[in-house]
Amino acid sequence: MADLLSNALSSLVSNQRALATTSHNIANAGTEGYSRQKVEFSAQNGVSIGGLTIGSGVKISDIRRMYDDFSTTQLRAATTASGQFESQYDLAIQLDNNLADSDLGLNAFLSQFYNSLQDVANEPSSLSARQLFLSEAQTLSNRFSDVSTQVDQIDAEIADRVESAVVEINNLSSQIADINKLLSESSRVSGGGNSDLLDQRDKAILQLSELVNVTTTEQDDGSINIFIGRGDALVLGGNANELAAVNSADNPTRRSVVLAGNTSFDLTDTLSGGQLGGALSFQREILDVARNELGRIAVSVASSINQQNNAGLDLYASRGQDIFALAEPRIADASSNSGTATLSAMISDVSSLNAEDIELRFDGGAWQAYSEQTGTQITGITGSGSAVDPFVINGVSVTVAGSPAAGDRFFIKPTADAASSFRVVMTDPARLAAAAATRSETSLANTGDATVSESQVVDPDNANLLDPVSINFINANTYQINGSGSFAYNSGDAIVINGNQITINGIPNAGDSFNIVANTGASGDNRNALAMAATEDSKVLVGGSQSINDAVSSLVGKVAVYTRSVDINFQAQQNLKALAEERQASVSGVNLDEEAANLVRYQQAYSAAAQAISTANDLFQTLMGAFR
Amino acid sequence: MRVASSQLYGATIRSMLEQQSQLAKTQEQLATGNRVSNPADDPIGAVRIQGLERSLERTAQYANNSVILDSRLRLEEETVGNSIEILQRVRDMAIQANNPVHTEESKGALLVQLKQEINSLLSYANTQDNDGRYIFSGYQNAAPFSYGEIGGAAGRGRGLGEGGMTEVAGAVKKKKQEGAGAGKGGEKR
Repeated sequence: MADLLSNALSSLVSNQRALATTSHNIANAGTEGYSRQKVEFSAQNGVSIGGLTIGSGVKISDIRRMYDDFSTTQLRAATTASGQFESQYDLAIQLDNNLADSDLGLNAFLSQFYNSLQDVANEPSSLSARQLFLSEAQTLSNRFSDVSTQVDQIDAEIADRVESAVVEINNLSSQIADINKLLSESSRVSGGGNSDLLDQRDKAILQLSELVNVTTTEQDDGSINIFIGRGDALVLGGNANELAAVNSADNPTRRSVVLAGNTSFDLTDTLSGGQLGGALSFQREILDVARNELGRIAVSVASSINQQNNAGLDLYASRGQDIFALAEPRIADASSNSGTATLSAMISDVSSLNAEDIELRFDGGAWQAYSEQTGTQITGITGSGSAVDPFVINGVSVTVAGSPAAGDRFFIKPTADAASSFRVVMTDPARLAAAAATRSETSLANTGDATVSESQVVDPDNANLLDPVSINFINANTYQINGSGSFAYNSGDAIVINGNQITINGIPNAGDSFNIVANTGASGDNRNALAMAATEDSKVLVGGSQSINDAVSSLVGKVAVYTRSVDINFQAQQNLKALAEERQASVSGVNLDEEAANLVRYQQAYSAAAQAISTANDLFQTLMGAFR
Repeated sequence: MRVASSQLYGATIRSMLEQQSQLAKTQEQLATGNRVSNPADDPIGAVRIQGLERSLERTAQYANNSVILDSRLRLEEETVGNSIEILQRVRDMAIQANNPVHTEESKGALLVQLKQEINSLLSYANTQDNDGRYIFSGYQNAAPFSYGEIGGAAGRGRGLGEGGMTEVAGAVKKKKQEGAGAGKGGEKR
């Protein structure tokens, strides 16, 4: 009798709790990170009476958190990867748009610039064509600085992203540490995990995974330790180690991530994955490269145009001057340097330049150069570092003054500032040297049928370039230069005198003469302007294998391929993430139909149990009635 | 497989969003008429497009160069053609003068005519284009030809030559140079 009542009571209580759990599941059907809870019933041990064992009701042995460790780990990995590619794509697409827009891209401006040079060549004496050229040059320089400003803005955005990611990581890690504390306390008191706390912690870890790649280890007391980078502890039990974003040692516009307790140890390069790792790897892999490439293009435009302009004569019949100017390589000293050495650097050979930054290290006896991007040692360095014999590293001449100490490091960014500092220094359009420096002349008194070619300046640096030269033929096979010497003449041979080259063809008579003179008053000469326009296609980069146009195309292509590949990876990781989410939801997610069925089931059990109590009551009344 | 209720909506929304983003992409392509709006859409194509755009610009520039060259060469051709006509007439006059029936008066008339022809020849030789540049002065911009002092006679060959002595090579070459410059446009692409 008593058994009937207590059995019914146990059923009432158990089903009530089951209903409560079901309603909890229903309530949290839409809660992110919620794991459904399942009530486990078990029969209470029976009581032996007279050799029979009679059941003594039901109890709830467990409210189980439906959870699959494997799919959770998988989801974390997919979230980290998708966060990384998402932030890489977000940043890369900005760069991609900036560099290659058909109206705003560098290509369109270079195109207009070189076209304006051809316009000058069409009318070398026209001041308006020359003025237009200077305007186009100015527009080009504005574009260079715009593009580099945009690159700088992306850099600034990355710095912001790093800062906010650090704040968020700190937030999440202190949350996790707090939950760890609660869990280890509750495990001491009740010995069981708290399903909802575990869900909250998993959610926080998932959010953390979206920001940066983390590894986790579970402790016996239920707490989880979290590590980032190469095993630096972020959360240990109930304690969180704060991260901090500080100004980078070798570049103050950048942020380095450090542990707040140990700011001297830079974690930045060890962080990978997630939005933070993605932004940092974008900065390393493509942004720096793009800035340096852009700089290299600016350097090659400036140097090829300047060089050619210096080879010609302007409308004042003076030698041409520089049209463009730009900044020298940027040098930074490591803050740990203890020596007194200072370095200076200049670009000495555009064709050997590449897009890599140089790190110079002094080991106490010798200097070594490393590429900052790849970390590999740069070989083939010439020179001793003195002013007369500077080191030449990848086309950059480096001079060392003062004495370095062992372990000193210097960072050289050869072209990082070139695009932003690219500017037009020529203001007078008449200074554009459209005319070649010299011209050849045939004496009118010549009687032979020999003809002379245009003079061609092959060495603009020759000090005697503009000196008049006369070539007099003693006979059909021998000539003198300026009345002296005796040189054998072969028709069609190149004759190089004072940096000028001419070719004489045909059979001269004795007494015939040809002259090379300074090309003064030659407002109609466009030879140097044509040569300048041709620099667009001359292979001046990468050891003479790449033209300026090729370099622009290769930069655009490089950024485009990168953007495309992170986009594809992002989509793939998103799909993987969706799969992992699905898999996790199939274990942990709430199905409302299932819960509705449970509601009915538990409610019916509850009603039946109530009926059993009523039956117990009836039995009792029957018994009482028997004695009335 | 067990399906969570939230999953049902999640999958539908995901697929809807994906379709929408593809629709947006297609609409952008439609609106701009360009298949490649970012280089990342087709990196290889984008690089090729850049090359072609430059070629297009360059070809337009070369076409422009040719128009300028064409008008200059026409002017030169016309001037040279007219000069040849003058020389023909001078030759005719020389033959005409080589006749004993001429009186002093008629010879005088021929001389006047001859002087006029020589004057026109000189002005052809010193033709200026619409920018005021002498078309036969080579790189220089000064009247290339003038009457010489020799014998006081006008229009003698040597006299003509003296003014343009240093310029002849330049003049011939200037033409060549311009030809080469614009010709490049045609040859390269």
